[in-house]
Amino acid sequence: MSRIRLFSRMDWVFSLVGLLLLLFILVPLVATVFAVGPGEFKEGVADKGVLNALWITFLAAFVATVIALVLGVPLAYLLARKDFPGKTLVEGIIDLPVIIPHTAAGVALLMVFGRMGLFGEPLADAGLFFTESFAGIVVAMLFVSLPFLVDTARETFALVDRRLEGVARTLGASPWSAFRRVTLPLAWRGIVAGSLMMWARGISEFGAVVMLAYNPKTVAVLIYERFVAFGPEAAAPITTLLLVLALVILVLLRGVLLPRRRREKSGDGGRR
Amino acid sequence: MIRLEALRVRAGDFSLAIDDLSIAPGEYVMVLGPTASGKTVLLETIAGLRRPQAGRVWFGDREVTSEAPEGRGTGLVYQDYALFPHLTVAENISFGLTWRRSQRNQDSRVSELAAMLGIGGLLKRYPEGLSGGERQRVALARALAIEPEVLLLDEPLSALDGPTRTDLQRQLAQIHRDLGATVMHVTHDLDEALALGDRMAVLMDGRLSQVGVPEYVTRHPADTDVARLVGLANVFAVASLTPGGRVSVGGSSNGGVLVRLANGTELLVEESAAPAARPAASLYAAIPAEEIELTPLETASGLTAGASSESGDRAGVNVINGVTTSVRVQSVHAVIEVEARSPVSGAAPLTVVVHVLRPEVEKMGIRPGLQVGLRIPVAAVHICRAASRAV
Repeated sequence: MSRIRLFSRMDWVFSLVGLLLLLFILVPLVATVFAVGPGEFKEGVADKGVLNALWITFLAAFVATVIALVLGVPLAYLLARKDFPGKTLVEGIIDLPVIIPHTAAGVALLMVFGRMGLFGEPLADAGLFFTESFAGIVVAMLFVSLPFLVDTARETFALVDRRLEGVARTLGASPWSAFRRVTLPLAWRGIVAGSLMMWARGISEFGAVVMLAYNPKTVAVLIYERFVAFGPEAAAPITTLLLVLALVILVLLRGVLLPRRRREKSGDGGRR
Repeated sequence: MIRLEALRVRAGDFSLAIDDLSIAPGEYVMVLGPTASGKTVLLETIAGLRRPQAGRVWFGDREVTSEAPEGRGTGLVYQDYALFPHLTVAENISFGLTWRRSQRNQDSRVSELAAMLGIGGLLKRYPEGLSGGERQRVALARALAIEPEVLLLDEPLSALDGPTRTDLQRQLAQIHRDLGATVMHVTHDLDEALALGDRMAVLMDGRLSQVGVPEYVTRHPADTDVARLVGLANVFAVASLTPGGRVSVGGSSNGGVLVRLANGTELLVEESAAPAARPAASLYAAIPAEEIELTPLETASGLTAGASSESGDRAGVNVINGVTTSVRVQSVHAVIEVEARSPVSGAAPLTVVVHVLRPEVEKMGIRPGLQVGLRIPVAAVHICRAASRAV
């Protein structure tokens, strides 16, 4: 005889299975953090190379995110609002960097941004180099992480009731003012969340970055270098640092996303 | 004020086609139509949010067909308010004033509107904390702030509860009287249309079925679809029309037409109510349920139990007899179904729906299975055509 339970047998089994997955993620991370003593941590991190790598990584990811904001948000809006022939293709192209191996992305970027590449050659004449340079890191990060921003922004724009824009227009707003005064304020949380995600993804990029620029070293490249030269123990302190920073970003992300969810639940309008 | 000419608007699979519709300045026009009949598309086209494939939209002698919405000066109010959730009530109301007035003028206009609509205490609140009625008042104030020449209301009362709806209905009538704006108000609610509209346009499947004074349309529907929409419960297929006889309506004697329904029942109607030169097969007789007088035969003084159901009272009333089959009590009246025998033996009986006020129902002791006489005034019978699409 089966009874109504708050938590059915199926729910228990599912919880157990899910727990396994959580442990699979958490155990290596926690083990790494605990493997590093405070002394080792200080020693391994308080090194000019590490701080420099951190700075370069964060800044390059930030620059890439800003570029994607300027170029990607308008595109995300169009994808959310308009139907046009080839739209599916455009969406596919945007998502392409997610599914191709990042080393392959690096090779492709080298072909174009390398010294002899389509963009690389004229820009090198202008003094902008993409190999073994900060600009190269930015390009690599931009390429592999922009889908995170464009997709999130597109979803957020789609959630904004388009009739709000319509009402704004009837009240006298031009398309630009309707976007600035209605759509953007209602979508900014999603755009910020997407930017944070893109920034975080940029920071963690290794494959594409290392193909274009082994130097100046990003944190991911530095970890790899220490691992190859001295083994995992040498890479652990920087890894720990990066894990802590990732945790901070995650908390920030939640902080941005949670208030939006609450607002949406009790929000106004939204029939269609 | 508004004139639509040969308008064609496509919205996905749906298409709106309006050949000609003119709305006078200051007129309050109700657009009545079932769900998905194109009411919202019509309003959005007038507001400039949809571009027609063909045809013209005029505001007075200004053609606005290709004018952007921000230049048109229309106030648009949606059923679910569509307030800006990130702005306070005051900011919502003053949104459209940004381009029109100085800051100080904006503030005074906002408080003026808030006072008029009774939302003065809500100005600092955000939409999410407001009730439906409050939100709709804010939406209305926001639309009125720009002093629109044309006010477009998309089912503004449909999402509200009864008392709030009545209240806001009264307020809409008041605002229309005071401001004299031209109003186009979309609804699927007949009572609302009757209460507010100077005229009523019936929209079916993207086409105008009928335009006229609401009271007239509800009694003289152009076709069976309109009859159904305006709640005419009695719509009977006509077999033949025979001109002849006289009927007296309101003291004067007019030409009459004998209508033979598909099941053989005969009704006398006014000549003016029965269009000539139509194949009778595509015609229907429509009778408002509230205009039929029901009398229990056992107690009726003027009627005898043996009265033949086919005999009509040539003085102005059709009399048919039948048996009540069901009595459904509603808030104001009871809906009573009467099965009237056909004079032709073997033909199906006619099911007639009659509305009787509740006190009357109790007084007459109406219950299922009662022998009753139905008096159908000649003037209450209207002959309409079949709807253009399949019935």
